[in-house]
Parts: sequence; structure tokens; C-alpha cells
Amino acid sequence: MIQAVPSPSTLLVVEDNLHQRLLYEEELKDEGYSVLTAGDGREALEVAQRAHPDLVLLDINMPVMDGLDTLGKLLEVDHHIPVIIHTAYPGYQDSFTSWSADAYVVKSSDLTELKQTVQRLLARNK
Amino acid sequence: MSNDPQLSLDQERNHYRALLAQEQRRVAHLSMINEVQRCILSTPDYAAFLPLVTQVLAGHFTACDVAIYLSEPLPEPDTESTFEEPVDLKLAAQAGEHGLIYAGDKEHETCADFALKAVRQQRLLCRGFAPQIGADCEQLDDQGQFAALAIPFFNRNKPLGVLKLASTDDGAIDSGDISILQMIASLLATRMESCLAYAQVHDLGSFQQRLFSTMLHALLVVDSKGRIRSANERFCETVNLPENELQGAQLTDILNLGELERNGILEALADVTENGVPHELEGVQLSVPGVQLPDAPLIFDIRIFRVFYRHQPQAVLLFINLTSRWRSFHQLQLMSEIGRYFSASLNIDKVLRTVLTCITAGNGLGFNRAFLLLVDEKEQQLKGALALGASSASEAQYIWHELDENEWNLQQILDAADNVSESLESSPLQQQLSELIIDLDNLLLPAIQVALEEHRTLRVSQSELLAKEPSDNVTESHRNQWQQAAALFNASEMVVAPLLAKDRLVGVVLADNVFSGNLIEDTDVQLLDSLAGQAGLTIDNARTYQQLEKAQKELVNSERLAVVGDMTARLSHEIRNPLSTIGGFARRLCKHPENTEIVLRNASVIVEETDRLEELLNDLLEMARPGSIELAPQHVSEIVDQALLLSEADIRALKVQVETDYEEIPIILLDRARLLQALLNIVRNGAQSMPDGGVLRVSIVLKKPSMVQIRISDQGKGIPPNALKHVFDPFYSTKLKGSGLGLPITWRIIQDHGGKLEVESKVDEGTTFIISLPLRTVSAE
Repeated sequence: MIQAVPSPSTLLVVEDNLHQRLLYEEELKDEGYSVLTAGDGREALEVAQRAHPDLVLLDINMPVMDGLDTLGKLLEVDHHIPVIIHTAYPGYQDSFTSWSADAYVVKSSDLTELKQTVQRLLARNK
Repeated sequence: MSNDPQLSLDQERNHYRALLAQEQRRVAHLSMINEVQRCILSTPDYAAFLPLVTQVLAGHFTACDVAIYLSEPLPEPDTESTFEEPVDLKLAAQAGEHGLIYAGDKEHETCADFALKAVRQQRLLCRGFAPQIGADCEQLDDQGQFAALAIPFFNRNKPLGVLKLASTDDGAIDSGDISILQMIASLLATRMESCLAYAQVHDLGSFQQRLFSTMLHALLVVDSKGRIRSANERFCETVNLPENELQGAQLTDILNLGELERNGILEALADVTENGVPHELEGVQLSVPGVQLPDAPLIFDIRIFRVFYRHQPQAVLLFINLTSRWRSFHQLQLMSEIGRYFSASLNIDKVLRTVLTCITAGNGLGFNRAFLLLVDEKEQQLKGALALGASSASEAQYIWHELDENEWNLQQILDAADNVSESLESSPLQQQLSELIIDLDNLLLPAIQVALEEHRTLRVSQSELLAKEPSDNVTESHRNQWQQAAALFNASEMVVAPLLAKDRLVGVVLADNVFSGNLIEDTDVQLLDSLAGQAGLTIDNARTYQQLEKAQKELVNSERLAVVGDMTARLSHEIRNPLSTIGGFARRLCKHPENTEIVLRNASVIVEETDRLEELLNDLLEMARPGSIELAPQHVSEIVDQALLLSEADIRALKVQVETDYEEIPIILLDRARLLQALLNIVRNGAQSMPDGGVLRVSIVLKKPSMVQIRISDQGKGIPPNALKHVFDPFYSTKLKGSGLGLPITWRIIQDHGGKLEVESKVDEGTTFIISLPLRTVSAE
């Protein structure tokens, strides 16, 4: 009996740092996801409109909050799409949960938490 | 002579009888005059001798009542002799037992009227007696009830009074009697005149004596041998000796010899008595032994002039006491001095110390001890703040001795108080006071209540300060407060002064002389009152300032915390990003060690990210470096060119054109390496802002008189206004490359040069950085 392999979920990684973008892309691909990447907000919107990813991983450079515009526009495109805010700043979690983000993950070299969060949100949205 | 011997004998007998009777009358008249003379000479006091005279006359004219009226008022003895009618007559004396003289009886006013008429007409009036009387007499026929005689007596035309006799017997007085009575009246007039003159001289003498003795200034008469001949009351009071002890004493025994010599008083005395030259000595300080405190001499202006007494030259010394005036001047000076000290500091501890030092210093207000309590508005309590003064009598002695030895002025004492403030704080007195708390509504300390409520400075006895033994219906805490206060405020009298800032209560000051026992005088109370007025305001200011300072410190702290917090957050971002990348790729290396290609690429990522961390570290250290710069004479344009050369790789890669425009600039002092670093940051920023190419303009402008400007303009997308003010904040950069510390470091370098870094930007037009450097030339340095 051939079991139907479910088509992998598509993730969009929005990250301005080239090396980090590469890291997350490869790690998440290893987890079996289909990974799209964007280096800035404009690119992210283009990809989102074209490819309708199942989840967005959004880097926000906190004090500048340069990812917020992107977040708002992404939610305009599809307000059901789960968004994980991925940042190097701890401590802004409280002010961000109100921003309609589904999760808030502080960057780490250990990507376990990130991967678990991705899995959890995708499962919830199934 | 008759021929009839019998007849002639009878006639002779009758003749001799008449002669005898006549002689007897004359003897009687003479003895009467003699008696009257004795009476009027017995005393210069006419009020005393006039009754005697009337008695003598009534004794002689037994059928008559005798009265003497005097003019009211009596004429002055030395005034000019024009006749003036007396306003009235007053019965001065009367004698006789016939009841014909009535004093003050309305019904018989005719008595006085009769006399008044005589005096007004300036002549003798007679009714009934001796109808054959001479021309200067007027016989009245006015139906009077009895015979009367009124003889006015004058002193040079001025009526002195009237001698009056009255009788129911018309024959009681004959014309011979009248002439004797006239003689007696003129005796009375003469004597009255001399009595009045005597009285006047006496009055004048006692008036002068009174003037002399009671005059405001002390007066002393000293003879040529330096002995005191007389002294007035004021002088006796001043030296606190009775006049009889002063008289005959040597001046040098009464006043301090040294001071007399020092002030040139003895010299002046000799000059006055010998040569008659008057002297004036101004502002002489004299201490009076045993009267005043040694540190409070009396201040006089002394005038010395010569008088003669029984041909002997004597010196009169007039002492004009200026002490109180001088003192109030001194006190005014003191208050303004104290005011200056008060305003010199806003440190609350120092202000409190200054207030109490001014109250206790000998050349301040000179109290033995002073206590200051401050109002705690929240708790509605007075709390002991500072006590100053000796803790015991022996300590007080020691302090006074010390101060005396050193002859310190108020400023020096204040400085000394600052230096020993710690030992002040640990004094037993201070400890006792700092434990004292008084509720504002504690009725057991009524004087403090009154002072605070009525805003008045009070001098109170201990019993007024502390209510009698606390009764049962007071709270335990009030009773404890009372006991603590009673232990501390143990002087017999104290001054309580409220400290007010405008109408608000700040606290209260209490001061006493518990060790010296000196009485607290009115001036002390007044001085403390005005000092407290100033102190209240000063303390209030200091407290307000203290609160402000505290608030500001808190504000600064919170701001600093905010900045530190911000910095930390940004820094953690800057470190976490490369760290998570390095860690992530290292983990991947472990996962896929077999794939050489991946291993090599991951390793190179790790190397690059490590470089980035190192760069960050260097910039951080640069930021934290102390702002020392090493200046050397440099050409500005050379450094700018070098920066452009070092950035050439970036510039060329981005297809950016560079345009330069340098003005002639003298060689100035700069730290070449650091300025180069600053310029590199700005040039690279500018180039990187134009990823699609553009023109980078670099110009050097001489801004007279003392500035050089380096302007670097790009044609990039510009910086939005809200970001513009943050461009020099650490880690604010939105660039992909760099630590976020480039512009902050640049700003710091320019600051260290004493210059200014400014930025102007318009979105979509470009950004201009302006470096302004001071024109420090070699020669100027």
C-alpha cells in the first residue's frame, strides 16, 4: 500500500543577515520543510503573495522595528498565516504578543526551540 | 498853763496820764511790731509765718478778727513793676474768735470782695473805724454789718495781698492803730518780696540741681588734683556707686587707669584745668569694673570743659553714652553678616550648623546653648535636628577660654564648626536632642505651642515652657515627650523662636544661658527673632533644594538606567546575531562532517562572523577609551585625502564619484590617526548610502575666525527626520555591515578635538555630515 506523502509545508524566512538566512534555510530544509527566503520586507511581500507560505519566520531588528511594516503587510495578504518573530532581543515579548504575532523566539545557535515552535504552529493550523 | 493850781494839777495829771497812755500805746505798738518782725523773720516760708502774724495782731486787737489775703497768682519778684489787678485773692491766714472772717463761704463773699476792692483801688479801705482818717483812705458807708479795715500791700506796684481786720466794735481801731497797721503791712510786703525771691532762687537752684543730677548724660566735676567734686545721678548709675562714695575719690580709682591713659583722658583733663581748652574725645571705650561683662565695654563720647568754683579751676566731664546706639549698629551689622552666612550654602546640614553657631558664638548672639527642631509636616511633629553648646558647665568654661585665647571672628568660628561637625554630631547634647520628638498638639509644652501658633518669639521661664506635672488625662507619649524636654530644657529661662518661611512653619529654635546664668535681655530676644526670620527662609530653601537635588538624582539615575538598558539591548543584539550564526554553523559542521564542500563553506562563515565579533569588540573598546588625543601640527586636506584613498575600494565598487573642494587652511593641531578614523567612517557611510552610484562631495571650508569645517555630502536616500536625532546613538545603525558604533565613535573623536559633528539630511536627496574643528594653530598653542 502506498501511503500518500503529504506535500511539505512551505516556510518563508525573512532575514537580512546573509549567513543567518543560509543557516535557517538549510536547517529547516533538513527538517523536511520547503523553505523560501527573503532579505528584506519588500522581497518578503513579493514571495508571500506569489507562493502563499504556510508560516513566516520574521527577523525584527528590535529598536528600529524595521520588520513591523512587513508584518502588517503580510497580515494584509493573509491574516491567517502564522508568524514567528525571530529576534536577537529578549525582553520585548510582552509588547509583541499584542502585535498579532503567533510566537516570539529569541535567536540562538540551538535551533530546537525554533523548530518546535514551527511544528506546533503548523500543527495548530492544519 | 492855767493859773488854777488845782485845775492845773488836774490838768497836769490828766496830761501826764494821757502821755502815759500814749506811751503805753506806743510801747504796745512797738512790741507788736517787734513780735511781727520776729514772726516774719523766723522762716523764709511765708505760708508758715503769715498765720503767726495774724495771731500776733489778733492778740493785740482783741476785739477784732484778723485775716491776710494773698494775690492769686502771686506776682513774680523780678517782673517789671506795672500794676496788674490780681485775678483773685486767697485767704492765706486768719486769727480771732469773733467769726467775722469767712473763708469760702458764699453768703459772706463781701469779706473777700471788700479786700479785693481795696487792692484794686490800691488804697486802704475803712468802714466804721476811725472816721477822721486821712486822704489816701476811703471811708465806706455801705451799711456793712460790722466795721472793717483793708490794707493792701504792694511790692513795687504789684499787689501782693491785703491785711484785713474786722470788728463789731467801731472803736476797736483808731487812726493811730491804722498807721501802725499800715507799717506792719509794708513790713509784710518787704518780707514777702524777699521770701518770693528766696523761693525763686531756691526753685532755680533745685531746678538746676535736678537738671544736673537727672540729665541723660553722666556728668562729673573733677578738680585740678583729679579728685571728684561732684557727680550726677546718671554717673552714679553708670559706675554703680552712690554719690557719697564718689565725692572726694580719685577719678583713677573709679575708672580704669589704663583706659584713662590710653584714651588720652588724663592728658585732656590737665589741659582743660590748666589752659581752659575744651576737649572732645569720641568713641571712647571704658569698662566699668564689676558692672559689665569684660567683653562688653561701654562706649562714650566725652566732652571736657573748664569751670571755676571759688576761683579754683575744675574740669567738667560730660559722658555721652553711645553704647546702646553703638550696640544696635553693631547688631545691625551682625544681622547682615549672619544673613550673608546663611545665604552662602544650600547644604541643609551646613545651614543648620550656621544658624546655631550664629546664635551661640560670643560675637554672634552669645547664647550658651541653642536647639533646633524641624517640623515634620507629614507626622505633625517637631523633630530634634541640631543642638549646639557645651554639654556641661566645665566644658563651657573650656570653650569660652579657647575662644577668648584665639580671638576668633564669626567666620572663623563657622569654619571651625564645619571642621568639627562630626564631633558635634556625637556630643551628648546632640544625642539627647536627636531623640526628642514633640507632637505639634502636645499641650504639655505650652510656650512652644504659643510660639508656633502666634508666630511670635517668646522669652519664657522654665515653668512657662513646661506645663506643671503632667496630669492623668494626657497620653503616655505626650508625657514621655514632656519628660525628655524637661531633661534637656533645664535653664531657668529660654527664648523660643518659631522658624517660618513666609507663613509656613519650618521649625523652632530654643536658646538659653544655662551656664553663665546671664539674664536674657530684650535685645537678645529681638536679635534672635530677626535671626529666626532669616533662618526659617534659609532652612526652607535648603530643604527645597535638597528635595530638588534628590529628585534630580533619581531622574538622572533613571535616565542613566534607561540608556544602559538600551545599550545592553542593542549590544546583546550585536553579539547574539554573530554568535547564533557561528554556533548554528558549528552544529551543522558536526552534523555533516563528511561533506568537504559544506565543511569549508561553514568554516568560512564562522571565520567571517568571528571577524565581525572582533570588529565589534574593537569598536566597543574605542568607544570606551578615555578621551585623550595626541595633537600634532597637520594639514587637514592631507588627512581627508588619505581617508578618500583608503575608501577607494568601496567607492569604486559602488560606482561613486568623488568631488573635492578645499580652501587654503593653515596647519592646525590634530590627532591624525583618530581624525582619519572619523573621516573613514563618514566617507564609507556616504558611499554605501549610494548603492546605485552618485556623487560624494568633500569640501574643506575656513569658517572665520576660529573654525575649520569638513563637509561630506552624499546623494543617498537620506535619513528620515525621526531617525536623524538618533544617528549618533550606539547601535542605531540600520546598515547591514558594521557594528553600529561607527557614527558614535566619530562623534566622540570630534568631541575630543573640541569640535562639533552635525548632520543634515533630506529624504531622497542626500545627507551631509559637517565636522567643525577648532582652528588651533601651532603658534597659538
